[in-house]
Amino acid sequence: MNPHAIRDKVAIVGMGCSKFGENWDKDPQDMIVEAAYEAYEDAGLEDPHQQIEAVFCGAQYPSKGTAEVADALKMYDRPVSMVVNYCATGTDAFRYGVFSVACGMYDTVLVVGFDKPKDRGVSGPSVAVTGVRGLPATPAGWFSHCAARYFETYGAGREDLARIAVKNHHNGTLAPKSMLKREITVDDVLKARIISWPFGLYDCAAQSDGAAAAIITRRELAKRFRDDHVLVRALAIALAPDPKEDPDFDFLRWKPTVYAARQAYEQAGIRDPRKDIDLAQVHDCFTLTELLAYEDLGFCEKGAAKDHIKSGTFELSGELPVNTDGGLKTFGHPTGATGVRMIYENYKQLQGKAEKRQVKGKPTVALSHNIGGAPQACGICIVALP
Amino acid sequence: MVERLEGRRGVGWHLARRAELPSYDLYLRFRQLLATEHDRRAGAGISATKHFRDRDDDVTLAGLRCRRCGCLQYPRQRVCFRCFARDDFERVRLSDKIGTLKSFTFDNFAGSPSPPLIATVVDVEGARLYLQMTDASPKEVQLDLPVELVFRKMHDAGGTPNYYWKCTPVR
Repeated sequence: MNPHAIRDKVAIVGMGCSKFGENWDKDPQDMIVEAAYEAYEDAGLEDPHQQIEAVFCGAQYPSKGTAEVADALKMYDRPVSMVVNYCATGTDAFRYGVFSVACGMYDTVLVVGFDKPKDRGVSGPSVAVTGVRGLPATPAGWFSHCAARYFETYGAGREDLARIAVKNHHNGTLAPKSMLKREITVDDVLKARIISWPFGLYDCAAQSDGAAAAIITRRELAKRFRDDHVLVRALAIALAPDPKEDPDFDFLRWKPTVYAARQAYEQAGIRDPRKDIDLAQVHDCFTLTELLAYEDLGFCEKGAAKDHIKSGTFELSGELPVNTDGGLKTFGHPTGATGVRMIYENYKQLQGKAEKRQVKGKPTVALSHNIGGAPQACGICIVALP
Repeated sequence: MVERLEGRRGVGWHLARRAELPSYDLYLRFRQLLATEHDRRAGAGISATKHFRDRDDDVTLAGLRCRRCGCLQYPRQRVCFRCFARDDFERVRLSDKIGTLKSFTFDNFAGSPSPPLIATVVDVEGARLYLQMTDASPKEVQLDLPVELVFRKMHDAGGTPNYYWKCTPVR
């Protein structure tokens, strides 16, 4: 890998995000238009049909494929590509967009992440039988497998997880487009019914509908659009074996995050993540996923997450705020959109436009992280002010 | 020939390890005499070609030991997890071995006639198997518990019975 191949060469000049939630009255076309046109307006595009040269989209449950986006926005007579990579889909679609601009082929590119899981009428991936083995296909089941060994090794427990849920619920009340706006207590979390041990109802993020979009261009052209553009400093994707098949798995970390973090930090020149990064959006599909991410992203030592959770390091007012808009937990999780929504939050925070949830101290470097599948795939994006 | 088979588990062996069902309701659900939200007969069923292709994995529970580095792995791989050697394995039957529990969860969301479904990752001489645990209660489950492997009917998707392995505590 050439670590500086794209570093600071591409700028985000506009972003949009639809309301996330159970959008019964909106179809994919509605949400894609809402997000894309907010991005067009944010970038000051006078004629998007002239100016956008290529489109990269991401959806994990697409109903139509690339035509879903092309038809909604009438983006024809130009490339439209779809990227699929579990929960890293949005980040990966963004990554392809960035490559297409950095290589000099396109000046102005649109990235759209979207998903509409609620139309299937179930609150998550289907539990219907799909194979001989009849094993649970529930993400809550898959993502819980590190819990027993991690709790035993480091003396952590459900209470540490609960504090993460409480934090994200609080932050979500400050984000106008989030799905859930409700404060909860540690007691609420511990008393909730168990979904897949140790995850109770409040340890799990609900899937939701939504779309998010970005307009990107070469750094040299960014000032045509806006002065307060945000640069893309690093983009990483990494796969690891299925933790349930991997003979070399210790159940104390998620390998995809460890691998992707190494790539991203090499690209960005980051040696001390907790000091060098000002805020982060981290994949809290489940509370334990966020806890492990603190360690696997190098925000603290392996095993030390519970101490930092107690001392408030990752709260909105803390040293390294995590999930400033409420995360997957309260913002919602349309698989294809989430990566782009995280970049949207980091973009707004760096511009000082995060309103009631604005991180203090003029942040300049922000990280977003997604992990999905078994989990096997991780995507990381680092953005920074010029 | 059957008389010469070693370690046969007959009716006696199974009866000695039985779990008493706490309710008639549960019996009806297991016998599929009571409609449930998750119908185990639902679904299009698994393709016959896939059934046939996966028989070594699913019926024999055959692992593969890499001849180059010795890593035992499951299910069937072409390329070794550890040393990346291609197509250099020897077949090892896993079903008569004792395993230890590496991880577990109690899944109330997965379709099961008797939740929670105990999902485990079992280590068998280094190979990792993702298996349901049967004939056990969550109270007995702990890390590093020794387990043995039993062949069970999993479901009737597509109207065809499907069999696979589960783990159960060594008694």
